[in-house]
Amino acid sequence: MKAALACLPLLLLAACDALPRDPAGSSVRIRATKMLRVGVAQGEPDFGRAASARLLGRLARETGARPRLSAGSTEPLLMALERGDLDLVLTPLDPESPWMTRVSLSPPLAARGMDERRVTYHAVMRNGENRWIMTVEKAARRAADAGVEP
Amino acid sequence: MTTIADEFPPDIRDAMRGAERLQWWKIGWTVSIVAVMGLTMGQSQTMKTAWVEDLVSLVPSVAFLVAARMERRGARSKRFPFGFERANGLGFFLAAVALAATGALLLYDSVMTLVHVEHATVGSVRLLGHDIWLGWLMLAAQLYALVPPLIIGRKELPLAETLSDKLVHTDALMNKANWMTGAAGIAGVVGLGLGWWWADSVAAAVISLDIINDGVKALRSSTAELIDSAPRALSSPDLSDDAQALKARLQARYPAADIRLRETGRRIHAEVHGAAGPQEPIDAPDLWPAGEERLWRLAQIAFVPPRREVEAGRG
Repeated sequence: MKAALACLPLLLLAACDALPRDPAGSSVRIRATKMLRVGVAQGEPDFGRAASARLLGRLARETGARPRLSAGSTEPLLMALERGDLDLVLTPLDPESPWMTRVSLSPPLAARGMDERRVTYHAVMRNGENRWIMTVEKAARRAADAGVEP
Repeated sequence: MTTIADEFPPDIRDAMRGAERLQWWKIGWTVSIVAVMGLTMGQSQTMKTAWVEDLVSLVPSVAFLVAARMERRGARSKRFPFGFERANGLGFFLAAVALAATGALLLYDSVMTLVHVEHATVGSVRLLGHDIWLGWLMLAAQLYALVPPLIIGRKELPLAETLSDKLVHTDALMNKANWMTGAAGIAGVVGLGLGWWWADSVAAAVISLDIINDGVKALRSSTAELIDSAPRALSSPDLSDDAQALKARLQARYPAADIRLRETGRRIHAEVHGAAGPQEPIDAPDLWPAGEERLWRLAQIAFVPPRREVEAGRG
């Protein structure tokens, strides 16, 4: 009985790790193929470059996958992400943007400007891929520029 | 001037005060649930609808408290010569609308999510230095939200029976709907965690059908009451057995008369059309089929004697 009680927290911890999973299997595929398909918004102000590099480094260590970067403009990249052709898009995004309900944003990686003129840089994931979203969110919190508040 | 509640026996008045206390408790718990659920709701469909449902479940409680207060405090007056007997019936109607609307809303939302193949995102939060999946917090919130309606609903059913109160009964149904949605929500969030994006909405849709069923039944009874239909049973739109037995006894005593019964809140009114009433006091316990301790439900027996026909060519 005591042994069973002692095991309970361990079991709970194991269960904590079992959920969530990805409906479209992003995390499993990234580990299996060892490839992380990343879209980087081009021609945008690159204030998020340093934080993005730190994020990709962390994700590479975590998953054992190598990032394969493709550049483009934000809109086509997000559409590719929604189709499942990309795992991650790095771009500045307005929190009021209509994309907000169609994709999932990490906490801000970097920010520029103040108040009304504030622009934040995010890692963007496909909706519902909850394990993958959580992995990126965790890495993003650690990779973000110092002093960037969500 | 007297109030409606003055005519009730003391144990019924006590039961009413008990029901009022229970509703205050329910409002307190519900407000805390709404707050906890609101904090953890995220993008989950079942969480969102469970939250709306918890909010809507305040309607029957508030309606009951207002109606009960009017019954207890509202004296008959020049402007309200019949007192506030029907306040409970109006509250019943409001509660029924709330219940049916909740079911419909839940169904619409979950079907829409399924149709649009929306994959709900449930991300993580940073709490006390740990990255925690928001789903675990949702599960905790749902578990918390499960308990009060379960207990309060169970306490309400016998009170509804004693008070013959359809409003309290509908609120008990609302509580049932609430904890069932909570259970479905738990299944939905776990399903979501397992990567079944549809689990959340399917669970919500199944539950909504049950809620709509209860809501429509309550809606039928309550509209019927407001338009002077024959008294209905507490939990269904079927005719009340007590009322039918009363009608049979009146009919046996006044075979030539037309007996009409209707219900105002928790009480029954009988009208005997086409018979002159007796001059001596009426022996109500003899006519009432449901035992002396429930006699308070018989509000009155009114007689409408036949009219003398106007002779042709007169005046």
